[in-house]
Amino acid sequence: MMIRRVLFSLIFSPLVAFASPWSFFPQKSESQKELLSLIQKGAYAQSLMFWESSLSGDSFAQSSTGQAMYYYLMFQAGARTTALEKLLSLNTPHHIDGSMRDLWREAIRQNKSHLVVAASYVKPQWKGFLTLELYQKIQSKPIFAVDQKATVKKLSQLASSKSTPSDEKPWYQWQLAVAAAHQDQNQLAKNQISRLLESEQTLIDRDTLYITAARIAFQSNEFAEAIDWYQKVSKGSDLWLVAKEEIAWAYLRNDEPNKTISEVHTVLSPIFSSISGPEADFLSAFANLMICDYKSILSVTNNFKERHREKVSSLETLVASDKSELFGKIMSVVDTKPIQLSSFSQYIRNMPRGFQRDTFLMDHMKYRKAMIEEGRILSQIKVANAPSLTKEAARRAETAKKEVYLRLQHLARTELQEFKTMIQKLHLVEAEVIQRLHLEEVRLGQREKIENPVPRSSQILTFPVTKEVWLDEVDHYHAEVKDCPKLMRASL
Amino acid sequence: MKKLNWTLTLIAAFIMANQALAKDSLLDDMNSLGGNKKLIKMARDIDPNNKVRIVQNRLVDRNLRLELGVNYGAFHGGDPYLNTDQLGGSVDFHINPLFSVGVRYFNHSSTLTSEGQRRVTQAASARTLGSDTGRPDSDFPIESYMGVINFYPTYGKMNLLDFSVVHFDFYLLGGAGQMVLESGNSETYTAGAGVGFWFTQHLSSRIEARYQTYEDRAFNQTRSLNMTVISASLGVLL
Repeated sequence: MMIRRVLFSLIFSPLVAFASPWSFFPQKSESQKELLSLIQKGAYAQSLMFWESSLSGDSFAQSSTGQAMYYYLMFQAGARTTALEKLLSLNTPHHIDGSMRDLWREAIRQNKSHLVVAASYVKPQWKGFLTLELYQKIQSKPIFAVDQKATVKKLSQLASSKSTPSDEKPWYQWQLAVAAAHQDQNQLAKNQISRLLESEQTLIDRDTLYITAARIAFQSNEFAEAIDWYQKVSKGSDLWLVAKEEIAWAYLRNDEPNKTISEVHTVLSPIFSSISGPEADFLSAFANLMICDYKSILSVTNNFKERHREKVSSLETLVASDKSELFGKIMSVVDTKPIQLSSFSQYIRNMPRGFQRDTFLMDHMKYRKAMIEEGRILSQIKVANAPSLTKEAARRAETAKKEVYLRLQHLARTELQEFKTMIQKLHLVEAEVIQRLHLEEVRLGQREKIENPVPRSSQILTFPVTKEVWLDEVDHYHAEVKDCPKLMRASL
Repeated sequence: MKKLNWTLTLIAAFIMANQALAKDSLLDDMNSLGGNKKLIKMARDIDPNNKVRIVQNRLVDRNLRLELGVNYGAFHGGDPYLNTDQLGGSVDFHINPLFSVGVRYFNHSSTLTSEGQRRVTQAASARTLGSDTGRPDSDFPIESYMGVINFYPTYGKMNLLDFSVVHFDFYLLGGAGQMVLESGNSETYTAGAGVGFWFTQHLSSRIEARYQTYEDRAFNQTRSLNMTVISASLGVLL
C-alpha cells in the first residue's frame, strides 16, 4: 500500500507541477485557444482586446472566475487600481476558481504599493480569498475614538483575547496605548508601549513608539524619563525634530532653561526653517523670559516675522482658493513625480507642516496619480468598455484632486490657527518684557551663572556659533546662560 | 510717580497686545512683533551676554592609537650643491589628542644643483689643463632616523569639497636622531610645525614644515648645515 502511494506520487507530482494555471479557461474555439496563448506569453493588453470576441456567447465571461480573470488581465496590463477595485466589487469571491485565486494572490503580493488605494472597497467575504495577510494589508485599520471610556475596555479585550489574530494584536495594543494616555491612564499606556517594544512587531514604527512613550512620561511629569525616551528617536526619523522640540519643553518643565535654549537652537536652525513650526519660536522666547534675557526675546520675535512670513502668506492663499498658484504646483508634482517627500522639496517651505505624515492626504495623492496613469493605459488598450473606464478613471482622479485640496485646506487652516495662537503668546511675552524692563531689579541687579559647563576633555571640541550652519553642528549647541538679575540687599 | 509709570507701561503693553489681536490679517499681527526700537535699545543695555557654542566630540578618536605613515619631502637650504629629497616612513603613538610620540625613518636621494653641476664641469675642464682646483666637495646624506614629540594645541574643521567635514589639528614637533652621511654618522635635530588631517577613523594625512640641522664633512672640515624640510604624508590609524 505504502509502495503504491510512493509510486503514485512519483508519477503524478511532476504532472501536477507542470499543470497550467489556466485549466479553468474554456478552450472550445480556436480564438479561445489563441487568447490563452496570448495570456501565456504575457501579452495582457492584447489579450484584453481579444477577450470579448473570443468569449462572446460563452457563459464563462459572466461567471465570477471569468470576471476575476478579466480584471486580472487588466491588473497585469497596468490598470492595477481599477482592476483591484473591480475585483473587490464582486459579491461572490468564493465562486472564483482556486487557480485564479492563487494567481490573484501572487499578483497582489508582488504589487503591494497599489493596495492602499483600494482600501475602502474590501468586504469581509474577501478575507478567505485574499488570505489574512493580504486582507490586513488592503483593509484599513479600525480607528477607535480615543476619548471614550468604552474604547479602553474594548481594546483591552481585543489586545488580550486569544481569538484575536496575533498579527492584529499590535494594532489594538497601539490604539489602547493612545486611548489610555488620552484618558490619563498612564500606567496602562506605558505597559502597552513596553509590550510593543519588546515584541518583534513591525506594524508600529519604533520611533513612533519612543515618542509616544516620551509623551506619556511627560504628561506624568516624569521629565527625566521623557527626555530619555525622546533621545531614542533616531535622527533619520521625520519625528526627530518634533522630539527635539519636545525635549526642549521637557527641560523647561524640569527647570533647566539653559538646556532648553541649547535644544531649541537646533530646532530654530535655518536648515530646518521649512519644517519647524511657530511653537519653537515661542518656546525660545519663553525660555529666555525665564532667565530674563530680553535681548534674545526681542531677537526671537523679530526673527519670527522673517522666518514665517512667506509660509503664513502661502497658507492663507491655500485656504482661500483651490485656484492658488501653490496648489497648482503641488498638483503638478502629484501628477508628474513619485509621491514622496523629496518630490515636494521645492514647496515644503510653503506647504502645511508634516503633510507627509497625513495618510489621508498621501493616499489620495497616490490614488489621483494611479487614476491618471490608468486612464491613459485603458485608453490605449481599446477594450470594449474602455471609454467608460477611462471616463470613470478621469472622474475618480478629479474627485481625488478635490479631496487632496480639502485636506490641504484643512491642514493649512489648522496651522494658521497655531500661528495665530503663537503670535498672541509672543505678544504677551513682549508685554511682559516691557513691564520687566522698567523694574529697578532688572536694570540694577546682578546675575548669577546657571551651571552648565562644557565637559572638560581633550575629546571635546568647541566652535563659535556663526550665521553659517554646518550640518554636523546641528544638535550640538550648548548654552551657557545667566539667571535673572537680583538686587543684593544688605542683611543683618 | 513710579507707580504712575508702572500703570502707564502696563496699559501701553495691553493696548499693544490687544491692537495686534484685533487685526484681521495674521500677517499684520505678525508684523507688529519685535518692532519697538526703544525697547530693543533698553534690552541691549542689560544684555546678559549669554553664549551658545557648538560642542562636538572629535570625529576621530586619538587616544592610545598608532599612526603608520609614508611621507615624501624635500630639503631647502643646506648644502648649496645638492638637491636632496626624501622618502620615508613613520610610526606615531597618540597618547591622547594633545600629544603623540613617534619615530621616523628617511631615505635620502641627492642630485647636484645647477650650480654644483657647473662647478663640477668647470673643475673637470680645469683638470684637463692640469689644474686641480675648484672641485666642489659634498657629503651626500644617505638616510636618517629620529624620534619626535608632537604637541597638538589647536584644532579646526574644514569642508572637504562638500563631501564631508574633516577635523584637523595644528601641531608643533621637536625631535633628534642620526643622519647617515657618506662620511659617517652625524647627530641631527629638528623642530617645526604641521597640520594633521583626520579623514576617517583609519585615514590621516600630514603636511609639515620643519627646521633641521646636522653637521657634515667637506674638504675634511666639519660644517653645520641648516635647512628647511617640507613634507607631506599619508597615514593609517590603527
